[in-house]
Amino acid sequence: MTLRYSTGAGSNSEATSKRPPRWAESLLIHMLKPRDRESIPGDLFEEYWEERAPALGRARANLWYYRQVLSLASFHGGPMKRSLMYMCFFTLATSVCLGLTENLLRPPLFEVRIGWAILLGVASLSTILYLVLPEYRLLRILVSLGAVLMLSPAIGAIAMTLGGEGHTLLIGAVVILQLSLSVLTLLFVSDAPGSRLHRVLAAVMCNSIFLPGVVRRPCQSISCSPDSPWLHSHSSRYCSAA
Amino acid sequence: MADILGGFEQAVLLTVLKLGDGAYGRTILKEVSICLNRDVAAGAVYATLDRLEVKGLISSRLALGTPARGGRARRYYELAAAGMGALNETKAALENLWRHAAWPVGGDA
Repeated sequence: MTLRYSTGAGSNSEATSKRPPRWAESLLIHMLKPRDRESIPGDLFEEYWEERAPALGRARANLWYYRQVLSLASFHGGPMKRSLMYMCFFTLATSVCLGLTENLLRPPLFEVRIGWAILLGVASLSTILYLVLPEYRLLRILVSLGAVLMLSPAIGAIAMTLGGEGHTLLIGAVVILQLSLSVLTLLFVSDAPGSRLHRVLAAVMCNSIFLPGVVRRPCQSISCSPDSPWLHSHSSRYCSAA
Repeated sequence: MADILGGFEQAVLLTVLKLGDGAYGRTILKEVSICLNRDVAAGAVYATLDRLEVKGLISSRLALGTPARGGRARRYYELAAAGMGALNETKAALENLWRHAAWPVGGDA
């Protein structure tokens, strides 16, 4: 339902200088559920226009506005939280696929990478369950534990993604989206359970796809291994470069 | 007996009750901040309002916007009968809990 009075505010230069940043307004509107897309931005606009901008000045009023937008980022399971869940599903599916691929191709150190893929799968599943069932303490512990486990490899793996190609680029793009979404939804969610440390760890967890075993270059990973039964029948296709 | 309302839920419900016909998002946010004596994030208030509406403790309606809010509609909130009941039950339960405790707890404040 849309009820309009007039658009008096914003019709002249003074009004334009006293209104919140348009990109932040636009972001807020897209994050909210359809029923709230009129009223909540209107409330914040009114507060900004009448109180914050005149009292604090534009820069500090903008900061206030950004904070409100962040606090509304995952307003009751809105699109942001759903998107993060889809990302985690993608990560889960990726970990399963890569784990199976490693098992088929059996390059050097494939056992280690399969281990990482399993950890990644467990972590993604825990994060999904954490988002769906936040009241379960065990899930929070699992998510946090996984985050600690994967923090150090994640840092090293970021560098490896820079020379990306093929699926690395795809996964890298998803990771960037996942990072933004998880920071927004988990760090700035006002009603999220757990302490801030818990939420930081959970946000790290959501980005654990940086694991080196998962995002390494495909050509390097498919070096020929004589142990791979699958490679015997596909060697001409996959091992010519090696 | 119904579940006892949380502290923030009580604050929001009592604010809606206090503001009466003038209870919409912005006024509720300001009033809750004043009553709790701290800066309250908009997300916390709107999430609570949403939850209370889902529980049937409050109801809402849209009204015309004004130029000061870019012409956008206001959503006014009103306490439902179930909300009154929940507040009364919560107060009774808390008073019952406090009845046997000396105030201030642990001696002189």
